[in-house]
Amino acid sequence: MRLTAQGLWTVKKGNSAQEYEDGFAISTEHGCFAVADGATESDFAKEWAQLLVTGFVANPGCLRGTGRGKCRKDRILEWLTPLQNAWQEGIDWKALPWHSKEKTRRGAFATFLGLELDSTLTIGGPRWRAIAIGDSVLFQVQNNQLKMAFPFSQANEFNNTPELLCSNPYQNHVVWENVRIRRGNWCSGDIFLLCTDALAQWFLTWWERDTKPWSVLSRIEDKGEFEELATRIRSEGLVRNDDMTVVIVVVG
Amino acid sequence: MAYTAEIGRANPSCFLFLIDQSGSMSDQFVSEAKQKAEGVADVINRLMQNLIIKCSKSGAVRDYFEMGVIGYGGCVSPAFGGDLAGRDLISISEVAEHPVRMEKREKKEPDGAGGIVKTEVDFPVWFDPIAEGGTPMCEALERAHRILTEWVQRHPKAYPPIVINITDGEATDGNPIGPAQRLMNLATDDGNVLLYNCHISSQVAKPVRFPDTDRGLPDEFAQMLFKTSSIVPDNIRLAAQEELQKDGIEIKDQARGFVFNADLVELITFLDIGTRPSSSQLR
Repeated sequence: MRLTAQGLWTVKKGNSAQEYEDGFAISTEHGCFAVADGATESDFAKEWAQLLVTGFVANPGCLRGTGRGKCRKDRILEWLTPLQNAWQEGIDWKALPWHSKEKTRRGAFATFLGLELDSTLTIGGPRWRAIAIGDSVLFQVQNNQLKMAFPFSQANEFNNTPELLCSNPYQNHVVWENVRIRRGNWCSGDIFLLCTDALAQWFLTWWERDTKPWSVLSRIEDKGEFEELATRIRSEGLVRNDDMTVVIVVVG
Repeated sequence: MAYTAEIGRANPSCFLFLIDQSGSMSDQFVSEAKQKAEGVADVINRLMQNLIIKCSKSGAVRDYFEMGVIGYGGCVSPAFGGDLAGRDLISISEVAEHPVRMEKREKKEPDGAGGIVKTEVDFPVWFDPIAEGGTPMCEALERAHRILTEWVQRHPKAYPPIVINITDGEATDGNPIGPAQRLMNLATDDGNVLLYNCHISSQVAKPVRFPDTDRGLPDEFAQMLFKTSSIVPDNIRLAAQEELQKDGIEIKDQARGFVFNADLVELITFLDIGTRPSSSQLR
């Protein structure tokens, strides 16, 4: 399995680069990729999003054995709990002003999407596994056709209260029943795209209009070109002004 | 008139609070040994705290809103004290930095293992109870009109200003309906100024939140305040629905931004400044 991958990102119009609250991580070596989208209305969300994606790609195989119910939760907690602890420890609580202390006590929130590609042959071919909490979306393109979109497949499924994974374990009580796991097969030449919500919504909107948005994204060579695309997307007025991130994985 | 303008630092919105500080606010609530003026101070301090926490990010407060507070009682004037005294509109980050004092309050929280723990939290106080003079509500509404006439000219593309009037409803300088209507006629490209009323009453009557009719409201003051309350914009109403349903409250199509002996924090919580945890997730 030969993998090439690139991450492209741009910050919400009007914000500085330091205020980028999505996160992405790539490990072609492990076949692991992730994006996360820190929620605006939570504090230290940028740090949380980054911890989630780096923690996921550093734990290859962590989606194996994620069946339903308790087993799934336990498997996820194996890699999630140390990340939650790291987030807590990374905050200088004593230095926080009153408003930040109150908000930070609730925890930081982020959507999360992780993908593992496995080269082990199984019936039907080599496998991929993905985990999704919230509205970051994975697309699989095969033979220049959209084969699969997960967890959303329609542009009208997005709103501003997606499921979110929290750095404070206490706030994840409703999350476990909404963790989505999906598995499938891949073959050489496939393209996987992991998109945070605004870009995913744009992708699905244009796909529903019988176009092939992946061909636009996979032609992009650098951040400058991606920012031009983001400016154009925002001017169409079809998606909200937000950070945009995509990880594009091509399986050779 | 969509109420969909993006609220951001480059395009902030505005909150203007009108607080009744008249002599009648020294009356006690029937149900608890507390003056109405204390009820008003509680409401405004809590609303300000919620708004500021909403805008708090990485240790700083983002200026998504300008804020003003007009007190009306012995006189009609800006009501902030201390370093903020005498000013009509102030950026929310500056308000956050200048409470009059910081109190410690005890908060009970579930400990995550089925028990309850008590924690001490900071509680900023900007306003103390005041009760003196008449209730010049018309003059307060006219002053709000002057301040916001200028504001909407400076911010034509902004999410419209939100005016929150906290009162016992007994205006002593005329009928507030005319001045309230003039205030609600002000508009940005995104919609008319929103006027919400929080009626603090010493009457023994069931709290009312966001009614769509004045039938059944406990008195003429409540009915008058209902008439001067804006219809809640659809997007806020739909977002607030989930939260209110938990308390068995239905918020109908034509619901007004009016509450009687209750708070209206939902109208702030559900203003859209970006992705937020759903109310079913936060606890």
